[in-house]
Amino acid sequence: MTRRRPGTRADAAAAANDVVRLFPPRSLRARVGPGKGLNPRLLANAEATVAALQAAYEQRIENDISTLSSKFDSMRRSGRFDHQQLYLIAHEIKGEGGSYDYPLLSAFGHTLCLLVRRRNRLTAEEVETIEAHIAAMRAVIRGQVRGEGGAVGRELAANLDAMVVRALDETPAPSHLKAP
Amino acid sequence: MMVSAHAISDPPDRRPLDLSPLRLLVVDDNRHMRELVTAILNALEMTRIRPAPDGAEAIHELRAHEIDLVITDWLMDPVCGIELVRWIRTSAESPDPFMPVIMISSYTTPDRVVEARGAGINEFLVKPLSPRSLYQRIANLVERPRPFVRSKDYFGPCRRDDDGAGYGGPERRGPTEPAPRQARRGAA
Repeated sequence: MTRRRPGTRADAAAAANDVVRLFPPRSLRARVGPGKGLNPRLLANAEATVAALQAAYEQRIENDISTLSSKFDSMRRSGRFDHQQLYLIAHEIKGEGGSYDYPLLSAFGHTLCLLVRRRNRLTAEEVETIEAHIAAMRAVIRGQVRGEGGAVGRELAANLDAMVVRALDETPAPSHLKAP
Repeated sequence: MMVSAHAISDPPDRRPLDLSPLRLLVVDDNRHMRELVTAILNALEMTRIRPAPDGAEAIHELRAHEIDLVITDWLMDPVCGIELVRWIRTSAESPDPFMPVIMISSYTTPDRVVEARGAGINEFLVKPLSPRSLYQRIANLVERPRPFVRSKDYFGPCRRDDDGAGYGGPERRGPTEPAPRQARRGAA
């Protein structure tokens, strides 16, 4: 649909820039049919579903942190460091913490991913930094520290950030609490 | 067959949206996040859902199945969410360059949002994910679809908050026209 008379100066500019507005040939409306707005009953269902998953998440993430800890202990004892195993667990922790209102866990998972990826050997400082991450994750989930955790949470996050920066000698991604 | 109370009592134009016909692709490399998104969608009565663990698998799914809407994470290997969106919008092999895409990410900085919009997403959703925000974004795509813009360096939904529909002045962006077939394939 053209909203202006063709042949105006603006048309010529648009043509020169080759900017064209298009309407998608298929619309979701055609597939969905009539109706308007959200269904409060379904929204309540969905919110109850997430609340039910929250309790399961807290149990599962505690298990994940225990697995992370035991694998790391085992690697230290054997002297064989498998960064991939730790990375995968840290990545899982990072990926969903925020969606269950545990953004600190996502942030700690993020910096732990930065620390362990592509490493096959660890310095003493890196070992200490991994241990600090595991301890911080445990503290968050045992204390059910939701959200950004107030001043204590921010301080904890800043300390871990600083440890990772020292260990990597580089700055981790833009903001500790905004991990992807 | 169950019929909801709304279906019995309300005329069609006053019923809430029934999103159950939609066929969705949920792309996330975190299995639990895929399950969370799927659980929310199921509770909203959207049950035609295909999961994909990364962008490469999503491309495979899009080639093999009819999909109406893609919900994707950003950071994934080997093909991330941004690369997936670019493929959908610009690849000659894309089944539908106009495919609606919602991106879910923990990235919140303006430059990241601009990057996602520049790739051609329709809606951006910041984690933590809430049922209301996801539901509202899908409803937006149905009720207020944005027109698409094709220029020499962009093809995707109009990136203006106000898509300009109410403006007819001399600075209005170029003409709107029905989508030609060639624009749907390999557009800029």
